[in-house]
Amino acid sequence: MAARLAAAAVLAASLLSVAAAPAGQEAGGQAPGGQATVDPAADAAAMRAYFHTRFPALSLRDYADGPYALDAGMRKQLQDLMQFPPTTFALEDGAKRFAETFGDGATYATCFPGIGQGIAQDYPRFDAKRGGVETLAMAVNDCRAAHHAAPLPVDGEAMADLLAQIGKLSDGKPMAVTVPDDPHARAVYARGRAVFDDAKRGTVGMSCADCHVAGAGPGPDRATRAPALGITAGFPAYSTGAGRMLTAEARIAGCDRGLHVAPYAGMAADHLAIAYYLAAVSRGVPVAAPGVRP
Amino acid sequence: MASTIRVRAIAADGNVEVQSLIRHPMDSGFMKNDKGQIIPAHFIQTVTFETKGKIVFTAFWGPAISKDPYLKFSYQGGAKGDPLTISWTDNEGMSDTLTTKVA
Repeated sequence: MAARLAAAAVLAASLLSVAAAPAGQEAGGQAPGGQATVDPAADAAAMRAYFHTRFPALSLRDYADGPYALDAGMRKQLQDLMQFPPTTFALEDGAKRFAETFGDGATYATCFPGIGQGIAQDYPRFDAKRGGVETLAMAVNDCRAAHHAAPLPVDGEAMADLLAQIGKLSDGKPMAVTVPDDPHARAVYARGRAVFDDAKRGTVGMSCADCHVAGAGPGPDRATRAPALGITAGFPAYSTGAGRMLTAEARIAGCDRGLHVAPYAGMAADHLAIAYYLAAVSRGVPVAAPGVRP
Repeated sequence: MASTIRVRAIAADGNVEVQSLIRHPMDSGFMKNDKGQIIPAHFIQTVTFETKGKIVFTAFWGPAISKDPYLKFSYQGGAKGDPLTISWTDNEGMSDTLTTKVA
């Protein structure tokens, strides 16, 4: 317990030092209009150092397994599950869908460079044209729109199958989400970090970091919380509880339901910002999608 | 259409370990669709595993079983190369069957 508190203090101190760091680092220091300074590279290094101190035995790849990485019993469960993965059907359908030809003869490979091999590690990313965060699901729908196909529901089964296949094609690529030198991008990142780290949410009154940083691992209620590092690398993931594939954004919304957060304007945007922040601080963790979650 | 059944049967030390995954909605009859209408109950009622004319495993399932059910069991006396036939029938009279070889 003392060690855990000490480690948390180290993280807090390193985050403070990040906040106090002089302008001009990776993502560009003080934004015009007096926005908070953000340094995603330093945040990522601090996050990795924190978890390395707490769980020295884990490799970066282990973090993509989420809660399964932190408990021997759960690790055994995952090994059993992966002998016959519950993502089997999603991947079979996803491969078929990914190979589909649109009405104008184009395929998804037309939209995504390298026939869609190795793109998942770059998402969610900041899209200046959109003026916000672009998830892989949005990119897929943009591709469909460009070739005159109707958009797919973002949290539907067809989209989940496609994302699973695209994730599989990017298997093992280190997460490479960066925050461009753009005041809006930095603001979204800072918002995601603030909501994740600091905001006490819902009637339960806990922040995301309470569970996924300080509280990562088996908790007092016998559920195991996934570490924040690499938490999105295994998404979309088959949720054995929900019995279907979930995107990272859908999973984050599930946390908010658990905390009894009353819906508010901008909630979906906050979920996107959190997903963006988590992906950016998880850089280097290999993509292992589609994953499995309890 | 591809088979709804995925199966892997591996012989080791006189036992055959079988793992299977069956694609089925397993609707309980209590869920509603996005228009608020009840989705009728639709679930697998029996699953059988048969090898060399002998049934080695039977399951009677109901609406409480999950979607795309996973099943794992082992039986004694099997050997590599044995045929293993899996079949299921559901409450709407639909069925599927697949024969594989023990590896």
